[in-house]
Amino acid sequence: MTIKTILIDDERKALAILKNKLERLCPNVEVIAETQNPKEGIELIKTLKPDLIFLDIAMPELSGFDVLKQFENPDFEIIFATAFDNYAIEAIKHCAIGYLVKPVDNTDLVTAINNAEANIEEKSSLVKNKQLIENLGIQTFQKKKIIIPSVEGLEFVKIEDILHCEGETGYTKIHLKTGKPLLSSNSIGHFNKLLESSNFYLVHKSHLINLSYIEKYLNEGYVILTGNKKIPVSRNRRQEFLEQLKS
Amino acid sequence: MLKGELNINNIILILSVVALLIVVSTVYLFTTFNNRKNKLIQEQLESKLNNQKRQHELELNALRAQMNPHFVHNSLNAIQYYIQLNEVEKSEDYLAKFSKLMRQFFEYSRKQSISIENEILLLKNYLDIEKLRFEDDFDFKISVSKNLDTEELFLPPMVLQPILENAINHGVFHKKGKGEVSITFSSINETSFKVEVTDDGIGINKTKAMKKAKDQTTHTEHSSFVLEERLALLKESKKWDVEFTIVDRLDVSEQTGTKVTLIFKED
Repeated sequence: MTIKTILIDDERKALAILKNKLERLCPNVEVIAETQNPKEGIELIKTLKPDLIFLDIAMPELSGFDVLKQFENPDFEIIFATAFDNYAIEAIKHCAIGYLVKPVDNTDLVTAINNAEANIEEKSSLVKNKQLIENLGIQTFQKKKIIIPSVEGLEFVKIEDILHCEGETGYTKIHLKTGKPLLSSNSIGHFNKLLESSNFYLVHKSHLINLSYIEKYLNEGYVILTGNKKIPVSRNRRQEFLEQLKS
Repeated sequence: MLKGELNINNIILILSVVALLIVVSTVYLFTTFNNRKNKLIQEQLESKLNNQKRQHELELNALRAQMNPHFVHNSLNAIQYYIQLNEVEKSEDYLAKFSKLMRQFFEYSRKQSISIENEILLLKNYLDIEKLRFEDDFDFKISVSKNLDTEELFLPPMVLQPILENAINHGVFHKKGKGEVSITFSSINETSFKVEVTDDGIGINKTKAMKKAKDQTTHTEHSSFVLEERLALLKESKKWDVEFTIVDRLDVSEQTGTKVTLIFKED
């Protein structure tokens, strides 16, 4: 399958580097257009209807997110590119969308293209992009939704509905306020990175809890969450955890 | 009648005195209470500020311990070497690794502690870059004892990397032929563990003699000073107790090289 691709980055050198790497490492990617001007990028996407766009986040005038917001039905796959922006990366990760950090690592690029190809075949780009647009408009982080790929497809879960996550070997169980827990093949470390700035805390190597649902802390090293759930707090994490609770 | 009037006057007088006393003491109590409250708030604020200050010092110190300008420029220089040789993929690979390491440095130096598991990932990344620089002249080995819980034991960030850097600069740089650095993590008990960094270089005695002969302060001295300062700050923070020993291997065995032992105890 040939992936018709448009590159958007305000830096000419970044475009050249990416194009060169794609030509060398990803023979199934066909760059059909490239631009330093985000507004022109929007027009190019509308007329050329690419499968994939590489989109820089920090650009003057229009950011990568602003470009995305211009579309009512953004049914193209996106790989965001950024030099350094934790907040933006987190927002992208929440929606399980691809991203690369610059300077781009060759192995990471190939992996991102393989994932993009799978997403294009599954036609999952539209719903993810729409969720990202929605999240960007929501101020309170607990009201945002994260997308969890599962065996059946994609699960959309509001952050405030997650009680805690439990890591098992090879998968993570996501316990919700109501209903059956979800299973994800991602590690608990992945969820920790995804949720740590949304008031979650890894109290144990296999327990990530939503701090909004703590009802009690027991000195012997447990927290009780809403619904009478008893979660162990590992010894070496207690001090920092208690400091976090106080602040 | 007169007696009664006197009594009433007396009562009025006593009542006014009592009322006055109540007012005065209320005002007094209120002001002292207020003063105390203000003082308490002031004290709390000060201790909070002090804590913040200490935290910032630790962060800054961690960053300084890491960002050894020699390492940064040596790496960039090595990248330039591969560019000159026209080894595109190798240069790209080196550059991307270097950039990832910088990201980790920035991320971890803000944290109070990181798990052994994450520390090992960072060290591996760092050592891979050094390996690109020295090519076949350098090798490393990281061993972790089986009973060590690398996910549940933590250490202050950016303590081990400067020690490794020293080991490489003595163990490999001043040596003819191949040099090897080995790092061993082993468990002591539930809250403490030991890290040993061993190189097979010329040893700390000879290094010191060389420096004396040259009569110069090398960056090694600078980084060991930063390390000492950092360990002292950590101790002061009352969260960590790190025992640090350094020996010349010739003093205790037949082999040359330096061995650094660190024992981490979480308070």
